[in-house]
Amino acid sequence: MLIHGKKIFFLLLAFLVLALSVPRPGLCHRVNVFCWVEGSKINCEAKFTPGGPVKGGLIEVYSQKTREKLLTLTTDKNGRATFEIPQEARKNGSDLKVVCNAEMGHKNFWVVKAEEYGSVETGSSPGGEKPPLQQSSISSNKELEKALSQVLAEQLAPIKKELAELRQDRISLQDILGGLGYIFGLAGVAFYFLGKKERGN
Amino acid sequence: MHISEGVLAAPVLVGGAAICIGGTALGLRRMSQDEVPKVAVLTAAFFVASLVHVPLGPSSVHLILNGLIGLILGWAAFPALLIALFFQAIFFQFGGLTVLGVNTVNMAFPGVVAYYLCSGMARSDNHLLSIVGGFIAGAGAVAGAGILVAVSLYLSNRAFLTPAKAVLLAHLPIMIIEGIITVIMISFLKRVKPELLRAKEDAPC
Repeated sequence: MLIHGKKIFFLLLAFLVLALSVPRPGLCHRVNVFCWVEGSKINCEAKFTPGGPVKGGLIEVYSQKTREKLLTLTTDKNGRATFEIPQEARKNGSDLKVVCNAEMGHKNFWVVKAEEYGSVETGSSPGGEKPPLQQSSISSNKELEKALSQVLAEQLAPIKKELAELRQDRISLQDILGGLGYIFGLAGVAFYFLGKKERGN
Repeated sequence: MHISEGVLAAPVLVGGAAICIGGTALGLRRMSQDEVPKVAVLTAAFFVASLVHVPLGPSSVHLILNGLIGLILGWAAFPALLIALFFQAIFFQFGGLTVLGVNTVNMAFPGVVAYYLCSGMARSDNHLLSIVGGFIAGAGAVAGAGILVAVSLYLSNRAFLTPAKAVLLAHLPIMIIEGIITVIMISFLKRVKPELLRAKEDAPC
């Protein structure tokens, strides 16, 4: 028996080494996708949990209001996809639903709320209520605003990404222990009914 | 291995649910009172097995255990895996409630097949036979689950060969590991708790 155990152990070890070279996205349980706004763009990242990025996953962007498909993209080798915020979504202030379709029946989605990107100006807005200042000052003000918002967007992007990542569902110890508790609780229920049946007989 | 919500077509979902209900009913009918703890422990094992990831290169692997559960429980694998997958769907968002039936059938049915094909071999006193039986049960049940996943996707109007190949290729390492683990578990159980593996008196229906 001991010899068997040793043999088995070495077989297992040899196999683990071999297994290193095989990519296996199918082993994960679900795919996670999350998005964050950066300036006028939306970045998406799709990941298998556990396991690496979703390479070449299909990303579809839907308008939550009209339910129509706005964009179709594929993720790059880092599982990222970036798209400009669609004009029609901006116009009717619709939330965007980003659906990621990975292989082997894995699918998930993420909703980008309209208020997350709505505040970002695209540039030419016809606001005329400003007090009449000097022409050069207006243009430089506007330019400054534009430059500022661009810099801000760049600097906030990592924070937004982190926030989006944190907002994903995670498995906690409570979940695990809760599930185990339920399973054994159900066993108790089964005992109760089977015991009743056997006593009845 | 968990198929997500919203991927499969409605007939596949309904068919999977129907088979799952049948299998579960059969499993519950054949379950006696003294089998309850065994079923509960294996349910719990399946529930957490998919959370224990062994990092392996760029990815990681985890045990599925459907072969071992099938070998030990027979048809009771259906209720066991149904409950485990239900709680995985609720607590971890693996799979989902509408796909619960299909996912249960995909996991449990290969286990039941392993029970009929391999439990005799795995129980045998002949070491080699027992090892071969355990290995086939463990590895085969994972392969069977992969094939059933591919079939479910195919029935929902998708190409068959690519996902099938991808699923099998992806699960090749875990098939072998699972086979080895099943052999180790069976040989351990045979020494420590042989009654767990004892054949039931009633004939398979």
